[in-house]
Amino acid sequence: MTGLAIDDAAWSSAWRLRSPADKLLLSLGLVISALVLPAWPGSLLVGTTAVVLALGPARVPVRTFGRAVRLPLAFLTTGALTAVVQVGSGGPGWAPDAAARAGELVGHGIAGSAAVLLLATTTPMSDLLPALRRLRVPDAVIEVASVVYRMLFVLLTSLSTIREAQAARMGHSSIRRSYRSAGVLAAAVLTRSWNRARRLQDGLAGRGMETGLRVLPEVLPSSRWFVAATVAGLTALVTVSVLA
Amino acid sequence: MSHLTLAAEGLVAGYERGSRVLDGASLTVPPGRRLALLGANGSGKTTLLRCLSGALEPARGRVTLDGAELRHTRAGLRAHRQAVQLVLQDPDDQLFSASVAQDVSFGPVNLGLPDDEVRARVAEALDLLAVSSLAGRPTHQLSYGERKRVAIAGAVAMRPCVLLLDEPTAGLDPTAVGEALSALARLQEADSTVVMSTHDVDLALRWADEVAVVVDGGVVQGRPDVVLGDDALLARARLDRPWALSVGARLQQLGLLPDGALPRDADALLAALPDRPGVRT
Repeated sequence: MTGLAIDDAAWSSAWRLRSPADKLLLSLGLVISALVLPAWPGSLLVGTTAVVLALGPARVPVRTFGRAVRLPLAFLTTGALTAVVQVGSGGPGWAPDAAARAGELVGHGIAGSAAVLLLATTTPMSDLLPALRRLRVPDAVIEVASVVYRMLFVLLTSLSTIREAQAARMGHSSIRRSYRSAGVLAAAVLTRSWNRARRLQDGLAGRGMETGLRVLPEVLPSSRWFVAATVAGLTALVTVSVLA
Repeated sequence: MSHLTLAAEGLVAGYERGSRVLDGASLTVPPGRRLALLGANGSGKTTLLRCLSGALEPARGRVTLDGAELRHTRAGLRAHRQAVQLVLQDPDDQLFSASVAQDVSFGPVNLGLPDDEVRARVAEALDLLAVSSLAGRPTHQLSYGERKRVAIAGAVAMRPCVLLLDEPTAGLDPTAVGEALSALARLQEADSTVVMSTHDVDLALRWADEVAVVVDGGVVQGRPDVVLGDDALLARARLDRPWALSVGARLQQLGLLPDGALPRDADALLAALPDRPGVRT
């Protein structure tokens, strides 16, 4: 495993071989529902649906999903605080409808995040990029994303290795030394990245690269019943939210 | 794949601390055979391989393929790379895609092949390197040895006539070395010419049909037992004598081995020993 839990989950998910377009449809539908529907009960239904699908049929590990949603939750909670605190002539205080505003903000945000995480934990980046190409995202953007995704893990390994080597030689034995070591680490990684980019370019040129990074994507056929179930499920979700 | 003769004549290339790495190096890669390229660190093995593959344009000298000189134009390099492929020492310098199958497909796609043909070539290359089970795996979850074999598969998928490998066994454990060599044997059975650079003189002796030692900016090429039996050359090149030649020569002196060509590995040496001491077969 690589240390990026979301990426590991995506590659080992039970939905790994489902069409990325199908999963994108589901996730996008949930995100839009999260944003447009009322926080109660819409956001709750969207968030619950995303979590149940991820932990159930997609078999994303609970721990992975829980850890992944922590950061958005922390971010949203901090943001919600700024929305519900107001500063008036009498100094700082709660806004009159603080609870409702906080609830809406956090509800919409968490539901949307859960919907995006459903996609992220079931679809590796290398499956998503060809789907984006079909959606007319510019080739240059896709190619940069593809190489960055691949090289991210190489970079993380370099970072980890250099840091271990520094620590073994007492490079982090004090705050001052840690700052210095961090600076040296950043410089070393920058140099390595530059050299690696040059060598990668040579390697790719050797395999005939002239104008772009074209590869043959994996064939992951769409499932009619999955699409039908997605549409039906989203329709039901919207109906219940609106009528409630 | 048809056999083509790849050759270098009078190459002058590469600079290190002000002096040329290759200074008049010449080499002929015997078609359909196994050539081991040996030399100390910094001797110019990688520079020579890069010149042979077209990745590096020499300052002087020329690289030829079946007598036709390599032109460092877009068309010239394109034609050359369809016949000659270089696999770099570090697989992370070659694997750009997170998906194994997609990375291996890169070369055939660049050849302009239809999708079905690309898929067939990817499957064939993965099978040759015994990494078919890794097709659906991300490259960053593979071990170093697995990434090396996938990198080789990426080159093999282009069906080159000549495959140049820069230290393919470096950093591998003995089992992985065995797997890599088995894969190279299958490649050769599929009619490829294979050139491998290595520091391992014992490996070169047992694996290669010919060896070439890069020393003092030039190349000395010949039969493995002859080149690797030249102590003066090995000293200049900072290489050790293969143990099989040292032990075999001593056993010959003791009368335990027949005169003639020395065994090149442990199995051949053991097979050549007499059943009873003092009895020469």
